[in-house]
Amino acid sequence: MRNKKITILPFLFAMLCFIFTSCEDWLDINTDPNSPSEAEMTESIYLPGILAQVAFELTGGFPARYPNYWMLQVGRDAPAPDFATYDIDESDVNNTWTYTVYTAALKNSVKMTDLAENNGNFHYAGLGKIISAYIVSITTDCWGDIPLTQAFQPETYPFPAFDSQESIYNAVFGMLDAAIADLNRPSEGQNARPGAEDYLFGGDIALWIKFAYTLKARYAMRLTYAPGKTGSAQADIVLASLANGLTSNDENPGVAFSAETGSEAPWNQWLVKWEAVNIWANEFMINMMNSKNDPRRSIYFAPTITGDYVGHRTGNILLVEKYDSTSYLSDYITAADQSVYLITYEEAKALEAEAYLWKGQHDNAQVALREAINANMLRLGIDQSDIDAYVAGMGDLPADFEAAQKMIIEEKYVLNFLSTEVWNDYRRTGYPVLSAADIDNPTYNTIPLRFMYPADVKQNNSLNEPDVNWLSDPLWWDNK
Amino acid sequence: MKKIFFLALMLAVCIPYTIAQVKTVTGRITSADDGNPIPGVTVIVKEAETGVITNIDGEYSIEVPANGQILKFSFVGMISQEVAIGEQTKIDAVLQTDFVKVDEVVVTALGIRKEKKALGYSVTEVNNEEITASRESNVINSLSGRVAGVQINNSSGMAGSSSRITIRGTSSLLYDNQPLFVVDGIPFDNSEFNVNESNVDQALLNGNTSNTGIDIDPNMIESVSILKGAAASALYGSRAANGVVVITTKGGQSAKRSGRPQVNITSRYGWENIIKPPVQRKYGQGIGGEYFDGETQKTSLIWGPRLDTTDLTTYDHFDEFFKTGNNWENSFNIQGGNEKSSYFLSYSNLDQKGTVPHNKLVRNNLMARFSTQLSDKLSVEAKMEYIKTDNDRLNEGNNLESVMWTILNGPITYNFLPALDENGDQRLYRSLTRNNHFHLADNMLFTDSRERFIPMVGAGYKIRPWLTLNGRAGIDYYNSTAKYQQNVGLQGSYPTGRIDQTLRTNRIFNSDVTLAFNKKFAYDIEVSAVVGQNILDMYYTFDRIDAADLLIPEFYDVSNATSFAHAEGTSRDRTLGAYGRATIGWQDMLYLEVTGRNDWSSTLPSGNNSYFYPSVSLSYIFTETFDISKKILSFGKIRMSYAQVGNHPPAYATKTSFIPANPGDGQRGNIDFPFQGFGSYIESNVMGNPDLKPELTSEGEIGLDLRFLQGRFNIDFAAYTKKSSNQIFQAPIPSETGFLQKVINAGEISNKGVEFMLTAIPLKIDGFQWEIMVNYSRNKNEVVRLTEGVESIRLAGFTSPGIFIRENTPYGVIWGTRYLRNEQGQVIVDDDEASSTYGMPLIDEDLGQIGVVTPDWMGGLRNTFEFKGLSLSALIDIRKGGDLMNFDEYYATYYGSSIQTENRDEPIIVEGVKASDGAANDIELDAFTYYTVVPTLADEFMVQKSDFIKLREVSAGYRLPSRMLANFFIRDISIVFTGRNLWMKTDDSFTGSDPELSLYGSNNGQGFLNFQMPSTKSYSITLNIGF
Repeated sequence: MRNKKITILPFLFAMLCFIFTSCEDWLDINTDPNSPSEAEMTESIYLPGILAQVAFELTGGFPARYPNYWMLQVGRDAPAPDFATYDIDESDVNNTWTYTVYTAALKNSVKMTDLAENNGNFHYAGLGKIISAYIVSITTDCWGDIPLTQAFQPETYPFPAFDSQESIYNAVFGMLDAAIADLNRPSEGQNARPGAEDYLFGGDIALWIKFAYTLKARYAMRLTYAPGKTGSAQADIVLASLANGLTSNDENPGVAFSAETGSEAPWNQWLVKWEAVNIWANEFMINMMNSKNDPRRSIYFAPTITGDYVGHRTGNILLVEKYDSTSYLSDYITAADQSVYLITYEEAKALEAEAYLWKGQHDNAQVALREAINANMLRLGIDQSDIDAYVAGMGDLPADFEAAQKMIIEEKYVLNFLSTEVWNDYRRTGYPVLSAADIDNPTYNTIPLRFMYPADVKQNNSLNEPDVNWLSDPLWWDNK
Repeated sequence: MKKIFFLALMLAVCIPYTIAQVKTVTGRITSADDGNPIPGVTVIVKEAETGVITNIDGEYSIEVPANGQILKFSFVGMISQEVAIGEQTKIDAVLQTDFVKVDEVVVTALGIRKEKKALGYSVTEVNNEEITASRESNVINSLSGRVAGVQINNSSGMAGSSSRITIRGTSSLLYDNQPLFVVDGIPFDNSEFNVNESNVDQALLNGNTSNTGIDIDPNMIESVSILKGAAASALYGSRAANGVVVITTKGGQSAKRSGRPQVNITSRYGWENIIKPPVQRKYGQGIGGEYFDGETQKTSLIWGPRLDTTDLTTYDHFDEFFKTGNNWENSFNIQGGNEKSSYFLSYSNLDQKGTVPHNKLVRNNLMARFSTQLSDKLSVEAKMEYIKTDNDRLNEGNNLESVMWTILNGPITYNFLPALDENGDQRLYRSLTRNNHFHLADNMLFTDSRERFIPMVGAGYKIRPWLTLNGRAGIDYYNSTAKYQQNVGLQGSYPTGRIDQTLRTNRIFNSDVTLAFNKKFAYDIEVSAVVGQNILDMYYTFDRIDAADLLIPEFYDVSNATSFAHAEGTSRDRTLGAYGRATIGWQDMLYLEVTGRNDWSSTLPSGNNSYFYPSVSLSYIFTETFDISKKILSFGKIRMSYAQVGNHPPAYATKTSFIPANPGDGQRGNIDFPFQGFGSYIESNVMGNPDLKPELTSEGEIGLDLRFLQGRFNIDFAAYTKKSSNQIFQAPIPSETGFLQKVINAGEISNKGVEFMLTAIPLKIDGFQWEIMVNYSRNKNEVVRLTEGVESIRLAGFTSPGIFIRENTPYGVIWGTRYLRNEQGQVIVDDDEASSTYGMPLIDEDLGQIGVVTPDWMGGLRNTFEFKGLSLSALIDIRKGGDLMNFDEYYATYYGSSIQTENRDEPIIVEGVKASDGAANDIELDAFTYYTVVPTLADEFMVQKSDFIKLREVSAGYRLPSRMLANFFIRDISIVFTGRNLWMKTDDSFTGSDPELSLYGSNNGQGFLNFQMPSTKSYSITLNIGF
């Protein structure tokens, strides 16, 4: 009996020891088999996701879509109050800030850039900087002060501070200049260079450089009224940049979508999956285009059953019996295989026109403006004869600065259809002349000057949230 | 000399023989109640601790060693007897029924049976008759209203819908708050998977699915033990922080061990009907009182003419679409054996068709169980279970493929049939941006098929009478295919059709090896101890393909789709545990129990992956000490305990991962990768944490167990305070850091509460008995702390309205837009005549708390009447004090289908004060203006109270008395008629079908109701025959 007792305990003990020595190996399984490791992530793996997200969620997404309704390019078929009557809140703007910019597109763009710099892949680094600059500018143009220098460093800065818009724009120019320098480096010595996965240019570095310069021009123009800047000095920067920028419609940076499910263009998905009713033309824009017999009407919109173009006035339901007598957004615009352009040659020309205007060179301005319209209409497939007729009907660029600027910006309004730039130009210049009076039942008396800070900031970073009123506090550069 | 020596030698040899002589004692044990013999009575010789059991005739035969002096007879439910053996060789005994249940044995952690009186914590048992009497397909639902402190929520009216169970409130911020399920010692997976594996918000758009615990066959259950507190479940380790539901199936220790085999057949037929939510039936389709027929003139609005002024035909869309569901359940089992071995075989089949077209639940359970005594020291058992479950359901929730959109909001003047017009297009009363629900139901389906295997083997070796080595190992393994299919031509996000299919494999391996020690010492001290080692290996993998663009309509094979997205994932989680428990009892009156467990987990950082947690409890039966009349207070016990339970993180939380890119527009638009021929990965927005620590729950509990008047009146009371800290959760961090969430240890939740249970037999005469059971529980839950910089975390719904966790409020607050109020709490009304919201409440610019989901208290009341073979019982289930967000009203008020819009003749005056001067508001609004605008202004309009009193169950049964059957082959016949959810009283504010409905199923985000199938009222007849 005694012997048995003694032999059992050591046996148990030995069993336990055996278990414990091999247990560490048995427990060492805590690596996710479905995730690539950081070591396996290369620039070419990051790039497509970032570009697709920028095009789908930013350029063609919320920051364009809601302001397009406010800018009366599209009319909303819903009773007030509604987002089109300016009724938005912190949860509406939350997706863009939180899910698009900071935890996805911008973060990964910065990460890809750092990776490229560490690897000595300067061309990828250049691409990354341009994309980052682009995202940052859209974000600051919506919100004003935003975190950047303290962003993306959770261990050091768990609650990132907000940088002033002025310093943000300095950073944007810095990124573009650095990108241009990177892209000008020779290809030799780089292990990886952008290729077919680059949805914009297929790896054509020369075009990326032109793209960067054209962006510089756009942002330089943005600051023409900013405190501490002069229109004339900014115009110099614009013209100098454009000299190295896009030179034709064939060079437009765009992401092409397709009719495959899960690949459709953003306005198409918005129409089919969310609006589920037609998206109507807005009375304001239709009236403007009607008064000038703008041939682009038939490209952007569908005619009514009687062949004319009639817009809907936002702030009301459109009754079913009026469907046949109101123009909706054309199949061309809402096609699944549309492309989304981050910037166009025609906008470059319009920027050139306004820059010359700032320099007092009316003739050059007029030439540039007409070239902008020409390029835009050709791209949309309008006959040269119709283009010429329209341009002839335009008249000359007025001598008065304001009147001239108005003409340029109103043309830009039409050629930048559904772009984020429309709201930027409106806030910067006050053109086209529109207001809350142009819709019914506006929730507020003024068109918003920016987005309010999103729910994520209010919940998670409230101590750093700047105290601004989204309806009445203009952005730093909105200083005319 | 030699002779004397030889004689002495003989004597010396004989005497030991005489002393060592064993005698055989036999006898017969009968019951004092009816004189019948009792089989299965345990007969032991107290000194030797060897024992036998009586056979079917109540007879036993036992060998008594020479030192044996006392024979003890014991049987569950009867008072044990001890008889001095003396010189007797035939000892009969008559056992009395123990109404006080002093020696009641319950199943505790690890399946160990202990005397309830020795426990220092609360354990509640629900017996199998109550479970099977309730006739619920989902065994979790049968517990509702029966156990204090346990909240059950049946989330949808469809067959196979999931049920959520929580014990003592919610203690985990973001991980599963449901208890661990253990069946015969093996953890039984009870998960609910969402349609989209990686997105719990998919429930918002599709409704919930089923929980895998629905595989449990109620017919096979012998008993259910609910271990509510940390002390009770400490030995189970991590997964038991939320309590444990210990299920023991038939055919184990209680299996019949002698005589001929027993056969049991149960057959049930049931039917169910929906509990219709109210809609207004006074007004027809149209605008401004003018009739729109829905054919030539279409509108979504039901603000047309008063129907009693017209002769229009009306339709009841609920009655047309929902039918009477019916179900058949048949169960067959056979058990038998002899003194050494026993077997148990059972087969059950459930075939349930719900009230919703195409909705069904079919379940087949097959179980075989064997146990045998290989020698007097070694016993082995083996069990094998096979379960096949198939569940077909329709969509619920906030997407266009949800039938309730048009059933709830369709004008009663519109006939939805035929569903298609002569061109084959859907007919609809409004612009074609919804679906005709008849057409939708035939062109969309969600199927979930699962096959499950549960083998288990165990062995026990009695090293000594007081030392036993036990081992048990088993696997819970299942494969499932969940497939959502949708035909071409439906309105919604997938007009060209869709197939979303997920294949899943889940495998849990669990083994326990324990050494149990049981010995009596001097001074009436009894020590029982267990030390053990546990291996738990969990493996889960899924493979999802999301395909669209069907080439051939109605052909739901992935090869027929022309584009797809694909995702897969694997998760492994292993734990090694070592544990021990020691119970010291003194004089059968005072018990002290101490446990300790140490776990090593694969999901903690290596090098720091071990954690330890102890518990201590005390149980004192004070009626043994003090001289209290047993007639008045037959048994009184006070118990107290303090315990800690640790919990480890989910797998892969220590590192940040990379995920496939998937841009979307935050609504329903999205870009699937590979896109334009290229794939892409980006860094995920959840930050891993290489310094994670385990969570810790600490709980203190005290309780009283008082039994009066010989068991006629019993009270059980428990009070507890539970604190869960170092919660592992994905805490939201500012998105500007690049991450939405970081996995951290933070946060603290406290639960304090009381549980009260009373059982009484007020009347007992001449074969008639009336028994009452009352239970009541109150849990005060508070999220004491989240973490710095985090104000709230969203659980369900939208950003506004949504269900959130916030500091210093109970778990689950409803958060959204609300009316502007003055300091007295009165609503401020807009009295600016130029304003578009003239006469309506002004809106507070800050979002705020508009409701709390967790109830204040719950209770149950059951009355049972028995007379000879007849029994009648009724169970009432009560819940009070919670709110829910009835999102249906957001749409129904606007369209004019809500019951709230029924009175349109009178103008409505918003209760409040005017903005300009604070005078009482008298601005009249017509019903149309009010209902189409005000509900859209503030989410608080849609908050309703979820209180209910439900007549949960009524059952009436008859069991033929055994003496009538004595001469027949049949041993037992009974017939039971049961009704469930027969009557319900809800708060006046509630306008839906049932306040238990919950779109997120058994997930943490409760209290959000939107476009769900109505709940049902059901009846069934059951016949049970035993041979």
